[in-house]
Amino acid sequence: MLRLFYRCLLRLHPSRFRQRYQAEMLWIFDQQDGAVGRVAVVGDGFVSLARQWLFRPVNWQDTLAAAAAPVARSVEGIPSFYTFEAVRPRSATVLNGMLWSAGVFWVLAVAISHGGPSGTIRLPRVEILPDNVSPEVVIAQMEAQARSTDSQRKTGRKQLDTSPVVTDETSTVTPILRPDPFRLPSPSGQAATRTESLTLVRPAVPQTKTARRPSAPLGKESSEILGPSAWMESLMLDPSRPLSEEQRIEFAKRRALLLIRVLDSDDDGAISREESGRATELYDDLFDRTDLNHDGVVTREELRIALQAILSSALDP
Amino acid sequence: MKDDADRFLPLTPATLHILLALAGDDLHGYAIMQEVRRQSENKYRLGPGTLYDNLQRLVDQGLVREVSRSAKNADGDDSRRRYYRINTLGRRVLSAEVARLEGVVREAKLRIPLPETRRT
Repeated sequence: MLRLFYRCLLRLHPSRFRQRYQAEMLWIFDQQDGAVGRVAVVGDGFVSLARQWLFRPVNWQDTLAAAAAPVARSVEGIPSFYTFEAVRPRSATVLNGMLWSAGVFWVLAVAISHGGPSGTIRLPRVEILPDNVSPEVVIAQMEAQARSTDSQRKTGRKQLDTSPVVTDETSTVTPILRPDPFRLPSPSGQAATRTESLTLVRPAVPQTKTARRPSAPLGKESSEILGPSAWMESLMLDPSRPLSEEQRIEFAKRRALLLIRVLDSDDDGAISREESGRATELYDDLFDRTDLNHDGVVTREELRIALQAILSSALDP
Repeated sequence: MKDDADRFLPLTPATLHILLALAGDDLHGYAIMQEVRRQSENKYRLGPGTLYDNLQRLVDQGLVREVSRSAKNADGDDSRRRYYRINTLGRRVLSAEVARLEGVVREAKLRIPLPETRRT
């Protein structure tokens, strides 16, 4: 077996060297006594192989010249063509190519490993809406689709009053990148479904906005606080407009009631111990969904966009 | 003439031992390996790859040439074996290298105490 290995090693030597010395080298291998001597000869064969190819450029020239020589046509007349040029690649070129390949591979590996929780590279899918579609219509359609797949929601809930509410002033809708409607973990404990698409909304002519009143179980107080969504939406859409003290308090109340409503999965108006236990996972999920570019930081703009989506879906029964 | 030999100096240890082994008689490859081991008292060993790589260079440089000689193998059959013979230029190069090494040893003896060499 060792002799066969040594023969293969000799076979890898340049043809010029092999033709002259292969037989004698193999004969010398046969003259060695014991395994130690033969292993030493095999080791010398490795050194010889490296020396012939790395430090004897004449072997490269001979090999490339032989490969570039015109090959006679086969009996069937199949034409042959040149596959090599009689040029030895420069060592610097080979080393440069190796470094570039290693660098590109490393960058890809880092990008894949930091692509997300699942380790995959996530790319946002951007959808451009037509100009005549308002953001509210899109949100309503997406919420209706999400509702139809949630088997844990109770049936027979009272529908909110959908009488239209016309705003006093026209609010400008600026192009924004808006995440999907906020979906809560179902009472069965299944993780919320995430969609990766982002929706780019073109500026649209403000249409008549509809506001849906909250359902009765939250009481009269809640129905007074969770008023028309247009009021809060106008605050979201105009960040340059400073909020008064009353507006901030009102905003905080609505957010608190929103949180209560989020945790109260059975809609009994109270938060049980089991329901409150979901607050931690709810917060983690909320943070991940608010961090739109997934850089670990929630900016003011990201928070504004997220709250707008939350408010839009919170008014849904 | 001297400059002609000096351009090959200094010789590598393998080249020096090969030329030294061929200085006595024409030898084939395996015999060169055995002669080198004997001359160096088993301290320096040549592998076949190193041997023939140096022989190829020596032949290309004109210091050694190949001679064909028939020899009887262990079974008594004639077999053409490639022998090597040192040229005149090779002898001059070897002499120049030995002179250079003598100068190195002379300088070494003046500066550092050398152990007594055992004569066999």
